[in-house]
Amino acid sequence: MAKPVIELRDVWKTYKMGDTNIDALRGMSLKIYEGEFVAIMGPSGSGKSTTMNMIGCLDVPTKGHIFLDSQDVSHMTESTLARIRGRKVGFIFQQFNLISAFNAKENVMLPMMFQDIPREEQSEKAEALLEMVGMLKRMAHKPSELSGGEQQRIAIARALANDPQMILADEPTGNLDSKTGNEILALIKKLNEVDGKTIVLVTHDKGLAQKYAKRIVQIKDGQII
Amino acid sequence: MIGEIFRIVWNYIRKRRTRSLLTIIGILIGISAVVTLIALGQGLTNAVDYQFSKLGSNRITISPAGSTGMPMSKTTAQLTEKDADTVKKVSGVEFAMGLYVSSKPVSFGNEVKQIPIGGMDVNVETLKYAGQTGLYEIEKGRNFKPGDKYKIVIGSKVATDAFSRRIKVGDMLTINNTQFQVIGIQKSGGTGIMDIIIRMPKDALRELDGKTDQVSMINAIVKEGADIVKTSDRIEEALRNERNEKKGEESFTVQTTRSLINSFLSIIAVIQGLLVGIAGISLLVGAVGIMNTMYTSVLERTRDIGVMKSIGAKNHDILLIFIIEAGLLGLIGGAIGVLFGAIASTLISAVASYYLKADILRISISPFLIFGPLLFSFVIGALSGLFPAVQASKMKPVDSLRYE
Ligand SMILES: Nc1ncnc2c1ncn2[C@@H]1O[C@H](COP(=O)(O)OP(=O)(O)O)[C@@H](O)[C@H]1O
Ligand SMILES: [Mg+2]
Repeated sequence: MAKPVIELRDVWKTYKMGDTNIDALRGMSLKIYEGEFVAIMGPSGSGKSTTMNMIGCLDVPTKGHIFLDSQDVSHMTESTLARIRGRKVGFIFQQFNLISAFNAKENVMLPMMFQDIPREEQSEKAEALLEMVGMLKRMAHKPSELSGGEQQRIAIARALANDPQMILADEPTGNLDSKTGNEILALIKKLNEVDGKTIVLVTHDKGLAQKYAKRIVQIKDGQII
Repeated sequence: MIGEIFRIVWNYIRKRRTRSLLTIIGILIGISAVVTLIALGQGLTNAVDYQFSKLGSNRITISPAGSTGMPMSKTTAQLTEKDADTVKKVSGVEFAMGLYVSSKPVSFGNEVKQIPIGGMDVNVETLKYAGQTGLYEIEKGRNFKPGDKYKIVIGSKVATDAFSRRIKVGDMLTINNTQFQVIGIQKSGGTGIMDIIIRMPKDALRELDGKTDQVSMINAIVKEGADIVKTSDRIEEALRNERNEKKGEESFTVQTTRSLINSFLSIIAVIQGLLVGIAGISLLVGAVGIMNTMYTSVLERTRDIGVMKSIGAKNHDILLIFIIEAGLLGLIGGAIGVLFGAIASTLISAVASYYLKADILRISISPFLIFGPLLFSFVIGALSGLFPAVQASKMKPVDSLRYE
């Protein structure tokens, strides 16, 4: 645990909503090291998702710095950030966010399409990942034909498509029953333990956080407490 | 990447089948109309061309520059018998004759009228070729024969309208104090010019006029099998040399029936242009339809856009997805439109030739008429999708992911 994979240094994020400014993050500082499984907890509106967006290079801070692999990414252009996201980060969302026009396999291939990976390789990789999450039989199904748990498994496969070092899961079990939620988190934990992926998990559920994560970070009003 | 984008786009077009279809129909109608009208116009042009060429377009007219081809119009430049001889010797020319026209006071009974008089040679050769032009047919009486001198053939309007009394074959007219006998009345028709003039042997007209060897125009007939355009070029060159004139500054003009056809065809082209322009408006409506569909799609897919960006799509990937989707909608509409247009124009020409018992339309669908509209419809589609696509590509990923 020499250098952090990601470091937030005194990060502020202010959203303008008409005349009023909302400070979603107020001087947030956080280091996450390679191979960690960190759970972020906090009340609704405390800035958990905003923190995730900063870690995942989906947005840039209003103030402060973000270092990814020791590289300052806080002022990079959108297309540079897009390339970083595509290669280094895998997102898992509460609403699964599969593309409804595509079937399961195409959804898993999508991140590879944006990285210009040869068609053959995309196809093999997608099938291997679907196999790994237990969804190979469902590869030709559209998201609307699948249950929430099945969709989330496919979303996990998609997050792994470009072999990112980091998986960011924002309340991945929020729309699932507790049994399915446990299965999904067990799968994510396996990624951490077997494949050594760095995991950042946002959850409301203290029980789940303690059961799966190695470290818990508490957030309140845009700061770590 | 572009291949991948086509795959992504194709999924979306299939997903929204009904809406895609309606959007496609919008373009389809415009392209079918345009293709049909162009094919019909082209068919009409082909048919006119064909009919004219069958008609034996073998006549060349040389007149002084600035004159409209009307024998009696006034110009400073003049042609002479020497020019007519020059034309006669040009290769490809079967025969040429100089016509001399001069306006004279003509008296009949106690009335005097100014009437244009055309003088022509009345030797065997000229009469034979004059007969071939079909311009000198006789209604009553007879035409000239070699040796005629103080005889005239009058136009049908001259016979009926010029004087209060109708002129009959055998009547005597006085022109410049010389008596002329009417031997024939010309059949009316053609451009109408022959109806209002009096024809007499050139020798007699020159006697009245005292003028030397001026001619008003030269008519030439092209040899069978000779290229009329090339022959007329050669005539132009020969006259230029003989008269010592520079190219582009000629004091004469050489006209062929071909140039007549061309002016006719250019009228067809203008009408066709107008119709295609009107059909083009329906294409505009189709383009607005695509734009509308794309704006709706961008809104509907806000979350998809956020997701794609979160998994590595760059702004220009998103831009391309929407532009290509719009272009593809246009292209599909265009492809079906070209097909419909080809079928429609072929049917119309078949029906027309069945009822009119003539090939008035000779339809041929050229590669240009297939690939032109295809390219055009793709470009129209892509352009219509441009603004929605720019809007989509500029969405911030965090905002689109929060969009419900
Ligand atoms: N894109 C945005 N535009 C405007 N306000 C936002 C945006 N994202 C988050 N916020 C606001 O910032 C605060 C923190 O939001 P968020 O990070 O989503 O909280 P959490 O995930 O902990 O519930 C909230 O008040 C939220 O309304
Ligand atoms: Mg949240």
